[in-house]
Amino acid sequence: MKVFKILLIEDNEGDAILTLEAFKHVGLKCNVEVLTDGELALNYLNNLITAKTDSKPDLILLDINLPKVNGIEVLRNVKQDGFLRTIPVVVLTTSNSHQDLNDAYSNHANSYMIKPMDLFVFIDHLKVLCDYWFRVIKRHVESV
Amino acid sequence: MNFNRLLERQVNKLLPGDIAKSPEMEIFLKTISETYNTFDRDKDIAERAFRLSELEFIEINAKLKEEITLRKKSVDKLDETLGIITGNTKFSKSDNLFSVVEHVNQEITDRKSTQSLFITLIANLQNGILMEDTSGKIIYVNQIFAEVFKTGRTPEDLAGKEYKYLLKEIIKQFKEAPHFGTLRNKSKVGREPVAVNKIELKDGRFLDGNIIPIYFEEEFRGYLWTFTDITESIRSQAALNEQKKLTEEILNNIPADIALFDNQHNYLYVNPSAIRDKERRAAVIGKSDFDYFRMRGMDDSKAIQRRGLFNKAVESKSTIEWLDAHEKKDGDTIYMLRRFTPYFEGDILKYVLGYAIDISDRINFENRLNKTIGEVQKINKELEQFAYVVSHDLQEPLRMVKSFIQLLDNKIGGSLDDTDKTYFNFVKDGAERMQRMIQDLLEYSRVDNVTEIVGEVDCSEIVKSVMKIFKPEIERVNAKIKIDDLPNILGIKSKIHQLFQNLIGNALKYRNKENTEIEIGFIEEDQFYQFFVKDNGIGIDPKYFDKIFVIFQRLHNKNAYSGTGIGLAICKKIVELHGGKIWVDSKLQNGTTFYFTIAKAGFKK
Repeated sequence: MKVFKILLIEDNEGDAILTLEAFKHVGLKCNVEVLTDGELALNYLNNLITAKTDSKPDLILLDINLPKVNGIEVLRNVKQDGFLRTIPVVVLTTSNSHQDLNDAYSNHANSYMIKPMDLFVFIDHLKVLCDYWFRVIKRHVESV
Repeated sequence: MNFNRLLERQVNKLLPGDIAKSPEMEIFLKTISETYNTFDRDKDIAERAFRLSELEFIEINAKLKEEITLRKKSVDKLDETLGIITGNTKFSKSDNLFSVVEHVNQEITDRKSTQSLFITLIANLQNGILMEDTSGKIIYVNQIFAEVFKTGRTPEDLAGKEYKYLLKEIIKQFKEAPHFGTLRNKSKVGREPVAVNKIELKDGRFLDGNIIPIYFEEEFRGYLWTFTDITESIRSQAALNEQKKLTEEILNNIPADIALFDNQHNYLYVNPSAIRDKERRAAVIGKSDFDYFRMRGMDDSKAIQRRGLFNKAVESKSTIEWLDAHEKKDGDTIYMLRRFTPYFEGDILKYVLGYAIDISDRINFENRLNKTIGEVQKINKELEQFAYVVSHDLQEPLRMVKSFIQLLDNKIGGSLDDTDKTYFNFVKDGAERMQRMIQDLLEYSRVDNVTEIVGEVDCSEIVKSVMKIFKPEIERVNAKIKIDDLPNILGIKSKIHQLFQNLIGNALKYRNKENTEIEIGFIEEDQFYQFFVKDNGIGIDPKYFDKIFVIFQRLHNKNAYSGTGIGLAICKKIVELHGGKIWVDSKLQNGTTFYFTIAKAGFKK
């Protein structure tokens, strides 16, 4: 059975831990990699482009407020690259601002999710999310 | 035969000799001649007689002339005397005999009427009059005299008495009697009236007196005494002076510039506030507005402007008011509130009152106040923004706290002892409450962040929808709810919904446990609708009326009644947003009525 590769770009350590803890309850075989700022994320993504490996992430969970390079910039880089743009990017943020929502979707974010206050609600949401992207729909497959 | 000369000539000329010599003719002619002679004699007599009477006539005339001159003199004297008494002088000067005669006749007539007029005059004068003859005997006293001195005697009673006898009586009445004897002599010797002014009586009255010597045909005839009660005029004069003094005092000390102009734009009066320098103030009187501005070294532009306003006030026949602002050398601005008020007598402009007060303090205060209000509004706006941002940002760490508590609870919750569990519950409860408060704060600060369009809101429909939300609760407590037909208002639907929901929610929450009754209604006023939500619940102590509309103010222990205390604060904000007011009327244990108004004109922004 496939182990999904999930990239979590999140600067807040607590949030990263919570997300990792939440994934334990989602019941998905997955490997979550955490990148703690925008620059690190860009470097990681550039390496993927250079390597053109098959090991690109199955899902990116992207926070908006990131140090050095912000989430929208990271999103733009992903969606402007022909190789990377097929990766679903789910913006995961606390921001409810119209501006952020608009910036995210106009840069082709696949989803926009507000971090719930309640951990159990968060787990539920993650379950729905994973269900959708990894079970319900037919995902894009690289033609090798 | 000798006939009268004239007949002889006629006979010799016309009659023939033979006829003339006839005896019958001779007799006839003789008779005629005789008649002629008689005529001649009579003529002589007549001529003589005429000559005689002419002499007589001249003599008589001369006498008459003399008489007339004399009379004229006496009339002149009379005139003079009357003139002294009445203050009227009338002298007739003429050399012409006939005009003198005519004049004398006129004078005699005049004199007769003057005399009667004089008597009537004296009798009716508002002066007390006494006439005394040369021997000191009273010949006439009028009613007023008797009254002025309160002698208790009638004029008839006094006539014929010694003047000294009367004097003795009246002298007692003076506070400080003048020496009448001396004054009397002085008038006689000086041949002119002597006046004694403002003599005070013991009863507080004042008299003006005159002693007038009467001379007629160069002969002293006695005295005329006059007394006038001047108490009233002194009093009114005193009152007038007092009034004048007071007016002056006011005009001198009033912190306003006052000037009076005549209808030719000339200054009649300026008070010291308008022109401080005394000499300048005096110099401007009689000068025009243009002169005054020139005196101050200014060009005519200001005077032209001022004149325009002056004329505007006159044309409109009403007060013109304007604000005059001018910058001082130190940069401060002086604001003068000025007025022109025209005064008319009928249609004729009498004068114009110029009035000015320095309202710089007021204007500067208003400006400062407006600035402060602007600043406060800005700060309020910023505070709201701050509250929004803070409450939003607070959610972040709170989410951490809450989530990790849940994580911990999940991991170690089962292994905690009872005390630790209690402590852990306090932590959870604190986090929960903090979350609610932050959400309320967010909601509160969002009231002003209106994105919805203002429109017509059907309040009946709103309340119906609120009733649906509370339906389970209403059925559970068996509440009786009375709802009037509510009007349509201009506002924001979601906010009005929230307003009714909060108030009705409160009425249910703090209800009367045995018998819950709630009434929702309104009355219509000119400018607004006044709604009310009335319950028969636990009531509010009046001392908390102001407190209840403040955010996070709670009157009850959270165990008794839950909530953060935001509902009424939000209501207040919503009502104010709609240009209204909210207030409460209540008694402890005796129900509560919330009133709020919504302006018909609608929404504030």
